[in-house]
Amino acid sequence: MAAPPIVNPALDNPDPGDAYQALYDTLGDAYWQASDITGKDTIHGLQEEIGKIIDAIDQQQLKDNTDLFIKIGAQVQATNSALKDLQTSINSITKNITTAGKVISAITTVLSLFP
Amino acid sequence: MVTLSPLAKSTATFSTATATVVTNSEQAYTTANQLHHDEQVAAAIGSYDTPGWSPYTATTPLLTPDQVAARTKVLEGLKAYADALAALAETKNRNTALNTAASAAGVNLQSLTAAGAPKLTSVFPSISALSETETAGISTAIDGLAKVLLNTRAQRGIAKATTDMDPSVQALCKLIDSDARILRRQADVDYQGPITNENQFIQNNRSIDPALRRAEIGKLITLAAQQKANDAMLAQLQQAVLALGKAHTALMNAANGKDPEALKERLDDLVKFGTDLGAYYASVPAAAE
Repeated sequence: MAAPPIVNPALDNPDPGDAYQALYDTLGDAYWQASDITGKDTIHGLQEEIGKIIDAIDQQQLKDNTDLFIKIGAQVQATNSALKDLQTSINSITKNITTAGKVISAITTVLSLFP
Repeated sequence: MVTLSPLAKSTATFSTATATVVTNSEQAYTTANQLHHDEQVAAAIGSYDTPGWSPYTATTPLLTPDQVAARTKVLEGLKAYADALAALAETKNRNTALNTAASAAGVNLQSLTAAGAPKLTSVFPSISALSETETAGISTAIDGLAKVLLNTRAQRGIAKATTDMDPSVQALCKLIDSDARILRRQADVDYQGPITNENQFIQNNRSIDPALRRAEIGKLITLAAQQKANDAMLAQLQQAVLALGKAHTALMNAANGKDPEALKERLDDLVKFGTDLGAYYASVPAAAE
C-alpha cells in the first residue's frame, strides 16, 4: 500500500520570510538610490537587521524541512530494500537454472564412471 | 511474452536524469553553506570597529553537518531507487545470462540422457538419448519460461515500487523545492550583505589608492554577476525537481499500463531541465569564489 504523503503545512502557507525579503530588497534598492554616505549608512544598518531576521527564519525552516527529509528517508529506504529483495529473487532464478544444469552435469559424470 | 524494453529505456533515462538532479541538489547545499560563511566573514570585517569584536567569534552554518547529511542520505536513496528500477527493467544482460544458463542446462540434459539411457532403459523402456533438436527445444523452453517469469516479476515489481514510492517522491520534490526557495532567499541576503559592505568600504575610504579603489569596485560587479547566476541555478533546480516529480508519476502510470505516451513527454522535460542544470553548474564559477 502506498505510504501517506509527508507534507509540511507551512509549505503551502504564505511565508513571513518572503515578506521580510521584499522589505530587504526594497532597502537594497533604496541603498543604491541614496546619494549621500549618511543615508547609505542608515539604510545599510537597517538592511543588516532585516537580514538577521531572514537568517533566523531560513535556518528555522531548513531545520523543519530536515525533520521531513528524515521521515521520507525511512520510506525511501524501505522501498529500496524491497527492490533489492526482488532483484535478489530474480537473480536466484537464473542461478537456479545454472545450478540445475550443474547438477545434471555432475550426475552425468557419475554415470559415465559406471558404464 | 511480457516485454520490458520500453520501460527499460524509460527507467534508464529516469535514472540518469535523477542522478543529475541529485548531484546538483547536493552541490546547491554545499554552495549555500559556503556562501553563508563568506557573508559572515564579510560582515565581521565590516564590523571590525565594533566593541567586543573578536576574530574567534564562530560563524553559524546555514545548514549544520547533520542537516546536510539528512538531505544527502535521502537524495542518495532516491538515486539508488532510480538505479534499482533501471536495473530491474534492464533485460539485455539478464536475457544473456538466461540464454547461457538455459543452453547449458539443455546440453547437460542431453549428456545425461546419452550417458544414462543404456542403464535406464531397463527401468524406463521409453527413455532414449536426447537428440540435438530436442536439446535445443528444451533450452528454448527453459529460456522462454524463465523470461516470462522474470519479466513478469520485474514488471509487477516496478509497478508496485513506483506506486508505493510516488507519494514519497512527490513529498521529496516539494521539500527540495522548498529548500531551493529558502536557499534563493538566503543567497539574496548572503550576496547583498557583502556587496553593500564592500561598497561601504569604498564610500568610507575615498582616499585609498585609485588602483585599489578600481579593483574594489570591480569586485562589486563580479559579486553581483555571481548573485544572478546563483539565483538562476537555483531556479533551474526548482524546475528540474518539478519535472522529476511529474516524470515519476508518469513512470508509475506507464508501469501500471496507463498513459504510456505521457511518459516520453515528461521524461523529455526532465532530461531537458536536468541537462540545462548540469550545464549551469559546469559553466558558472562557484558562488563563493
